[in-house]
Amino acid sequence: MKNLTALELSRKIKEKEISIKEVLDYTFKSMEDNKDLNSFVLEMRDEAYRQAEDVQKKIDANEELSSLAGVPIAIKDNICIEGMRTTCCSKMLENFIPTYSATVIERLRAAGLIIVGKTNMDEFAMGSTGETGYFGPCVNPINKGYVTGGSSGGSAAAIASGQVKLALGSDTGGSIRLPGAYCNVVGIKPTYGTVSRNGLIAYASSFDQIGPMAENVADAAALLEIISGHDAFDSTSLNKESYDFSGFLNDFAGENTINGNALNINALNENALNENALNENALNGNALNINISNKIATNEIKVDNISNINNLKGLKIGIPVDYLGDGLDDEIRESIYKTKEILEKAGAIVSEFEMGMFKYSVPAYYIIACAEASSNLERYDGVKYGLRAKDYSELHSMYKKSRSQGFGAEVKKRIMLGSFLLSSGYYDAYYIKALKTRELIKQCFENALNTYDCILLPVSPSTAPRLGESLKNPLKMYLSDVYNVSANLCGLPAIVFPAGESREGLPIGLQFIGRRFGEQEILYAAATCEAAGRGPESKAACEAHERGVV
Amino acid sequence: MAEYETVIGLEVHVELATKTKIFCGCSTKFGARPNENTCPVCMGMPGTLPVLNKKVVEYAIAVGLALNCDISRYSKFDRKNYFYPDNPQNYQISQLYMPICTNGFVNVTAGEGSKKIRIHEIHMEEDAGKLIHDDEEDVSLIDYNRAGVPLIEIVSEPDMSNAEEVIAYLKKLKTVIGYLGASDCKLQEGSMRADVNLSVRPVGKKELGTRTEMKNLSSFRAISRAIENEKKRQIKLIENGERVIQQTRHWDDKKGESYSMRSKEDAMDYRYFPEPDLMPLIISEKWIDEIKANEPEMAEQKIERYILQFNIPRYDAEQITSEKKFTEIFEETVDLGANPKKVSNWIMGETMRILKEEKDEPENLNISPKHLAKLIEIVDNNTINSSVAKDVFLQVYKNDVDPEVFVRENSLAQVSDAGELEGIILRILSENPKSVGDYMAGKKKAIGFLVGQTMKATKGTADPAMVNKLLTKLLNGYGN
Amino acid sequence: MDNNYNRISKEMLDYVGILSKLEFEESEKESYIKGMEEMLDYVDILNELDTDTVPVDGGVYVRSQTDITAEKSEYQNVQNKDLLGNVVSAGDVNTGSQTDITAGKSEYQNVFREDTVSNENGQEAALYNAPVKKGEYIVVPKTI
Repeated sequence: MKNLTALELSRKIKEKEISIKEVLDYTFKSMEDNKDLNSFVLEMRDEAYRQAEDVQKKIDANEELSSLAGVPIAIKDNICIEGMRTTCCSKMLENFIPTYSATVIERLRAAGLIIVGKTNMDEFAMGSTGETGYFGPCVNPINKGYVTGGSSGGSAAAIASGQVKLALGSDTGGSIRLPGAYCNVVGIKPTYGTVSRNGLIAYASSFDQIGPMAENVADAAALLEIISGHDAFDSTSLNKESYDFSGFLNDFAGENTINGNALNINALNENALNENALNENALNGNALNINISNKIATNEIKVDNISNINNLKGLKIGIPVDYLGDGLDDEIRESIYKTKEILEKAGAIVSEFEMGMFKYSVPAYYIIACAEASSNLERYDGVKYGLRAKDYSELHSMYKKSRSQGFGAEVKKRIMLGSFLLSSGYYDAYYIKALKTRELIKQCFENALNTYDCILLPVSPSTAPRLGESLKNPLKMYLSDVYNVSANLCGLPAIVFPAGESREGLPIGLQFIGRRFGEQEILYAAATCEAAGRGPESKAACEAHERGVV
Repeated sequence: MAEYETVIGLEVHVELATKTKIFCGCSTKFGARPNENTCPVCMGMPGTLPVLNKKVVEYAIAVGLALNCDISRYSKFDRKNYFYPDNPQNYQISQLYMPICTNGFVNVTAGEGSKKIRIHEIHMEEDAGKLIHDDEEDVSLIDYNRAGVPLIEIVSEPDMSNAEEVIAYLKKLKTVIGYLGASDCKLQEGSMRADVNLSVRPVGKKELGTRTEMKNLSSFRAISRAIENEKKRQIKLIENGERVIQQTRHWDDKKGESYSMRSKEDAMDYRYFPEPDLMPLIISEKWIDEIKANEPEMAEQKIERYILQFNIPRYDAEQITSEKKFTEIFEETVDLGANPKKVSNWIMGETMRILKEEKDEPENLNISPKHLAKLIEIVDNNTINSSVAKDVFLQVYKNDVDPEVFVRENSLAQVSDAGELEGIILRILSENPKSVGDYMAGKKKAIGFLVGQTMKATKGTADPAMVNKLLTKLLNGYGN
Repeated sequence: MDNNYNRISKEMLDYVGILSKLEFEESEKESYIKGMEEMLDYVDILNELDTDTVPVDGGVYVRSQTDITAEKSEYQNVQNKDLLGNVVSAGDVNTGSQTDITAGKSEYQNVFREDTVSNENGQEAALYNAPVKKGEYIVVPKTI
């Protein structure tokens, strides 16, 4: 089961080669074995098996189900599930039980995915390393001395260690992409408004988005499709006509050819192809959801000549060189240029350009995020739910004590800063200034994305730091967000994909940022890189680490 | 001693009569159990988001149009941040920077003539829950049913100068908003709340003095008293060389005084910023035109129309149009053919009298126009006399009885048969020799007593004019 | 750069604490002050940008009414739906431009729901997580 993709696993389940119960047995065992990674803060054993029964019934009855039905999934602990403790990894919500489920949870349930637990995170999603959670730091499976990145650290680690193949994270300033990069996991931050925020415990309303995390691009795309959609409960939710994110794979497999031997391709939908029928030259591009990139990744398809994956058909990709200056690790810069080669071989046109506004995005982001957070977190007052202090004298003392006891240091700091920045006298100088800066950054990206279909950027200036290292230097930690916050500021989609590793064996991840609603282009690009870039080496490296070598 | 003038502005909160709250689908219906009309959104549960009720915007625009405001084509919501237990999110979604309506006015009649009171702006916002004091344990109890109920806040310019104008302004707002059906505007019940901003300055001075804000004014009487009290308090401070401090004051009507509400912990900085969870409003011309077209006939128009069309005095027209319910009853009854002046008399007379006596509200009137018209008819055709008519009307008021049926069932029909009456009168005369004697001796007033006795004997149904005539005739011929 | 503007006094820390309902031990105050000052110094870099003519709605630069009605958007055919999935229209709206204004604004405006009751019996859920309750109410210390 280890080597199956989520899509493949679902197919095997639907073909009754494996039962969901067996899958869950495997999953919970894996979770047991990996307890030291601290990826999960809540296991949902009973609920999962119960849900499995329901979905299994449907499968046995040959009902039509989604492309990921039966697959276990982990949920970041800032997404509400009715009746299940949801804490945002904060003492403030240590015993909070939501009385409703997030819209994405309803969608997952309707699609037949099995929720197995809630994952560890930075407290209230405020953090870039995964270390500020009340239940302890997230540990990186690739190397246990290092951080996972945050704030969706638990979700990334759970996938990287093989406990689950799918997870939901949330991204406000890089919180899906950074852990994705540090743990070799694919993650997508969708265009703002694509996925409903109803039930996502808010950090910064203008930036928050729930997104899929998975082992590969196709799985992530399929998961994104399932959780996306208009939601009447979220006024910022978009109402698009189409949420087809896997469709790109049709074109991917389209008229182009793959030079290979004995392609053993399993069709995933009803328009099934005869398994061995594919010849060397053409693939029938007739609406097949074929997971080619995964086949390539797992060596089921041998690709002799990558140049024949001529599927990027002139996709224009831009690299903003002014963003790659000092402060960026050489190895990561190298990785950018290696990726450039891969993309060009695949038919893309990759150019370098100057984007501008580089040093202004993090300050603008933090001002707006802290301001919104200071307001969003006002509701935690010990009155209706959450921690209420025991030792107060009157109303305001109750507020102060409950909040001061319930929140960790990083959260308190951002609340204080946010309140300060919004207070009269400072509102114009900071908050309004930041909003205006944001407009300029938006224009910058809009211009760039008029010329290019997507932009290639690093995710982090360096590979994962050691556990405990970053908290000593908060400003440096904030600066690690420098490549990520722009996508949130502008509401643009972004995808992180594995792009090799450092000489120390730590993962390097890169990202594509697309236009609004430009998920297809960035999925194209990422899938191509994944196909070419995720070769045997990095898998071996992972395994080596697992065996305790370095 | 210097003469001072008072400068007053009002912030009036009006609860809108929508079926659901402003940002969620909870019912606004009165009478639910505590915390029954709640959901994760209006309880401020983690992860919840507001979605705007379209009807709230429609009402806000309708009220703005009726108050002569400019309707903003682009409007947004903002968050007002402050901690208080009746405020589940500890921020209120309101509008500061881009309210839905600006620059309006109303004309009110106060004292001698008409005065124009300008309206600075109208904005939409959400109401807070209710705090109840628990004496037993000396704690406060919270009921969130009201949290999220839609409000519009109408902010006037400081154009008023005394309690009379303030009350006239409030009555005007109540009428206008009542006509639109947007709210029932009841001060006592809290569906209309007025905060008074008051300052004083020496007559002739252009600059405004420091103002205070007064809350908890739940009747017109309280408003009058509070204005008087605050005016005096401020003048006294100034005369003593002290400063008036800008503050919010709570009016205690029982004690007849106000006290400052704020403590150090109630920081006044609300840190307003645009609400990121709600999308901007873009109001199209078409929508405004639709709302304008749907506006019902307002009081001023009705007054003029009643005078012209029905030939009733202006005073009557004003009385009737003071309440929407009266106009409904009036128009429909007249529609059925009743004489407008007579209908007007019944409304201004008995209806208003009984309402006051029963301390009841016009909206609760249960009088069907059909029955009122009937009542007028049977008085006109002498089926009953006017004092019986009042009794019958009371039944129409209370139980909306059909007057004809009621009269018949209770034998209230006027006795006008001369023969029958004569028989009764003769009996009365024989039973009351003293009065007869008095009358014959020249005390003409004694006939009143005899009329009374006759009416009593006929249970009030005798035609009084005829009784009078017959008595006079019989007495004069008595003894003959 | 005038760094004095960014200094946070203990009084200021206490005041912001009142706004945010947070309190700090004496021993902690220095570290929070330092953290805030550090951030303020860092974000000062935004002053390098000339943003005087950049339009945002936040109270400072308010777009004029005529700006708005003159603009069109390519997303005019998007449908707005209410909680029950019914299509809600606000009439013929002229929507704003794509580079419009603040925070994550989606391409359409006027997101509404219809005025129909869709929730009921909320009492149990409302009280479920309350730390202190009495009967049908949530309890807090006495308010004024």
